[in-house]
Amino acid sequence: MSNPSPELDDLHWLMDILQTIDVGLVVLDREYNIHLWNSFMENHSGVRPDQVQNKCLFDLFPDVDEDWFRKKAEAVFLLKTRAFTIYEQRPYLLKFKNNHPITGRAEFMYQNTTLIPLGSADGNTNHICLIIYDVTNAAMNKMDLKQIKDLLGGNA
Amino acid sequence: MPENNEPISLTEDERDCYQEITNVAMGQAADRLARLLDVYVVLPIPNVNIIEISEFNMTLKALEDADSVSAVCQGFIGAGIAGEALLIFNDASLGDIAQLLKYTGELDQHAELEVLMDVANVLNGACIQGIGEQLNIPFNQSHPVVLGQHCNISDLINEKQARWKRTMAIEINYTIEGHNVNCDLILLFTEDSVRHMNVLISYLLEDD
Repeated sequence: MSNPSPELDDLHWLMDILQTIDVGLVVLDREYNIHLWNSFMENHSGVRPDQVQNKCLFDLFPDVDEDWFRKKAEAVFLLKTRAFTIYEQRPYLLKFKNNHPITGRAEFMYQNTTLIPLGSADGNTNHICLIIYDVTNAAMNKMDLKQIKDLLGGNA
Repeated sequence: MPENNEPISLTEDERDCYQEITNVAMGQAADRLARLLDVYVVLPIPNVNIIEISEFNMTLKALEDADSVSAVCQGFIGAGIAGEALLIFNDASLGDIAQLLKYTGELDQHAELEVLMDVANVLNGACIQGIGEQLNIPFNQSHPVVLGQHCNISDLINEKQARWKRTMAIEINYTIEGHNVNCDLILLFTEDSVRHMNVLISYLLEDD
């Protein structure tokens, strides 16, 4: 039997992938209201998508350093270029638990983030996508290495 | 595809073409930096060269002068073309940029990292995107890596560890009028990328 609507299948696949992929995806508008909140975000924050839909990121998560995040995000809206933050700047944007709650040594998830502009049909950038990566392992390894270097007498 | 072991080289036309492509991209980057900082950014002519690793180290050493520097490097890849953007800052510039970015408070190592990342985001992002747009390649950018705050620049690249021999380097020196700000953006492309790009720009050259 032939598939009646392959396009719909594709869409389902894409949605499945968005939901399953192990990075956090959040779409924000100019007022920092949330328009997309994938499963990664749901599972790590414990907040369901329907609870965050159209609500302001800063109201929901007062821990987020608003001034700092705005500064990065406004540049993306204004300049339409991507922005990156690394865990060396801020260990995390949203405080999530470590992915290895039992055997992990880190108290929280170290995060790198990327902000990408999302173009609208009118050519403006009215939305941005925030992508959150879990870099706890890399961060821990680097800190271990630094500790060892310090022990060996270097200060690199 | 058979591996091509011939050393890469550029004809005069190809060099001009890369220079022109970079000119457009860096103009866009400078425009964005100017809008972000609200200043006039001075644009020089980009330097396009095929360099050996030893020459690259010399380029870096020349940048070194007496002061120490900080560098951010960011990889990019797309459609068979891979490279890295290396943004090198004179530490003496950081104070002025922090002021332009309206950072208040003490300029400690953490604040310097913020400044470095903010400028790197704009310059690297705009330049890479600009070049990608002209070649019709949407580049993927990796997360930036801070190569070493206040380290000696010759430590940045260890000749023995390098796996490459030659590279195409595009060097752009940005300065800001009326401020003590000076930074170098070096775009480095791998050898196989240059072969690939030479094919791409041959289409641009045909139109001339």
